[in-house]
Amino acid sequence: MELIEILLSIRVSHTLRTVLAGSAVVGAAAGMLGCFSYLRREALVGSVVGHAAFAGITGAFLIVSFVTGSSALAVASMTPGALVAGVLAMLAATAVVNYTPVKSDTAMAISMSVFFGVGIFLLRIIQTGNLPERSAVAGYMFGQAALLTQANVRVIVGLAGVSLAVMTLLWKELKLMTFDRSFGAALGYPAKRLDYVVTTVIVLAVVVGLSIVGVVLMAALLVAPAAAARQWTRRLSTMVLGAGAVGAVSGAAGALISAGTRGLPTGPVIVLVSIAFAVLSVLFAPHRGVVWGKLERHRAREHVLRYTDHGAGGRA
Amino acid sequence: MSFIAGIIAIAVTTAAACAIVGPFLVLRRQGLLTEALSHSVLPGIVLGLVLFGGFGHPLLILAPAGVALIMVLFIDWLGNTRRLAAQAELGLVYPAMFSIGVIGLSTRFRGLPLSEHAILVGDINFAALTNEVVFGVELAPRAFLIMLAILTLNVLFVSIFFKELKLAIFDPELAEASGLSPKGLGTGLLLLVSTTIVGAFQAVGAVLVVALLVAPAATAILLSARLGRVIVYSVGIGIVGAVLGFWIAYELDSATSGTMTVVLGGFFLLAVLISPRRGVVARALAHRRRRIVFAENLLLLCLSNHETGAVCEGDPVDAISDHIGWDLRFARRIVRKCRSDGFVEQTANSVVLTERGGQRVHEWQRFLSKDLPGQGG
Repeated sequence: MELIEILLSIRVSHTLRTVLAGSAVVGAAAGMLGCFSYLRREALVGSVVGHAAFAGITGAFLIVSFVTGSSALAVASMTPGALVAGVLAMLAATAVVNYTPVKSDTAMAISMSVFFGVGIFLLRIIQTGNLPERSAVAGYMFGQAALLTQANVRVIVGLAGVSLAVMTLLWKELKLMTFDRSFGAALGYPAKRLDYVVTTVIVLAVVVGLSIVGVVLMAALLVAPAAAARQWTRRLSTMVLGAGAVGAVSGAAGALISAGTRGLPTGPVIVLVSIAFAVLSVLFAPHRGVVWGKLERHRAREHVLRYTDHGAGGRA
Repeated sequence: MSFIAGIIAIAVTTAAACAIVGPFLVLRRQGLLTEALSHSVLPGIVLGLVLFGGFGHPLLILAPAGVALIMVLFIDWLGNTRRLAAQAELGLVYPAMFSIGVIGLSTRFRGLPLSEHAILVGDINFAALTNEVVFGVELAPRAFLIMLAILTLNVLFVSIFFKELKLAIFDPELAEASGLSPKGLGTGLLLLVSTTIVGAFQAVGAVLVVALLVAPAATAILLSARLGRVIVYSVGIGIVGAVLGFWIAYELDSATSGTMTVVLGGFFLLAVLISPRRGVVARALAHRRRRIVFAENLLLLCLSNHETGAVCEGDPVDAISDHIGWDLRFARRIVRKCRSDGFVEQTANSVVLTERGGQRVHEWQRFLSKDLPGQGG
């Protein structure tokens, strides 16, 4: 009954339709581009970018508010700010790894927590500074799907479109660099520059979802759909499409579930749905799943026992 | 204890407790695991707040720490299934735990003494607000007493198991063979880290505690290569960063934990740039110095092969730059350097080795024949 009510409300409620569209697009884009960070064994890039983006959001809001005095411009500048901070945090972590003996996990952990600390520092200034629209900034921590407007969704669709277009245009190159970087470099592809492209596109996918899922949890939306899709296929194209589908379904389902229950925040629900997909896939996917593996071993054991003289568990 | 003294006491004990275990996390490459752990304690804390009410109950520390440790074991298991790419198991588990915590906080358990904002950044001022009363005496904030206990625990663990931890980090096989259990030690360490995170949670929150754990340790590792010194430096840096951060935050009226993090990040950046041996500047200078010394040696060797030195019609430096393939400016610089070191003498149309220069060539040749692999010796 509840489900029917919810389904009916989709046609009625304009807000819910907006949230639903935004969440699905965010899930799809993050899912597809997350495959590349997943396969490059940098699944936590999204985590660094998400946390770090908060410094960009607050920084851009503060600077633009003071320079132009326009709160509308300040709100609009938060997404580009997040993009810049995300890329900077990744570059900082990479530079530390390249130029010092510090290892990458440490560099990433420091980069994300310090950038986030800068964001908190700036947030306090924004909150005590009585700037108009300042509540929009704090909403980025956990996402505020309910406040999504149609204009927001248009921006989300536009940015997601750009990142997916780049992925499609550079498909061959990205595939090559993901699976055999040195071979690609030997063929003369600009490996470094392609790395930057991949990083930027992934940062873009993270930034797109921040207003709905929030800076802390956005990382999961990059990892979970990719981890789920990976269990079902060995082809990159299938994996990317599958991850996009898982992401979109998670986004839509999360938006619906949270809309149906009072007080349930959208971001965490979307994240939990996508992780549920991943965990179920790891357990039950054919050929690769943990349960499948157990069954296979059991079958093989039976097979061996049948063709040897020893009974079940017997010894030679 | 006055309000300000209370805040400083909490900041110092929290920073010290984090900084003393940090080096082990950094050396074991568990920076991201720390981050996952700090987010995963949330549901345990929410549950503990519901069951025991208010911060500071001893069980409120142990329950979330236990839950977090179970998560670590689950992460281990998930990684061992080999169904996921590197790091992905962390990226699945901590957002799930954190989401459960946030959902719990914003639906069923509204009205707990914990805001969604404080989850991430803590509230050290709030933690220092009320003093614990013992035998009728207002002693100190409860958060300080808890962190003092955790700090003591960490100091004891690190000093008792220092040798074992060191061996387990740098040579796990030898540790295993000498009858130690590197895995057990690692689990014990992570239990302490979870306890520290939960204890620090009220003051600095889930994200910023990562900076307290990892940044001072990484800074210290850039300053020294000896584990004992690294730990001492790490604790020193953590305490100085916490106090300085608090003082700046107090002067500017900014967010305390955020400012502390920024200061610690600043220290790390400073060490990255100007650490005496491992900093970027020091390495660049050393590289430059080696390049010049190598060029000098190369020039001297060339000159010694031409017994009379470089004697020619025109500018001898021209001939040298032609011969070795340096550009003229670099050749001029190296010749000038050799002359000022007293290795060569230069006239209008010749550059000739001095006696000292000859000795230098000998030394270098001996060094090359001795130390390069595949060159006898």
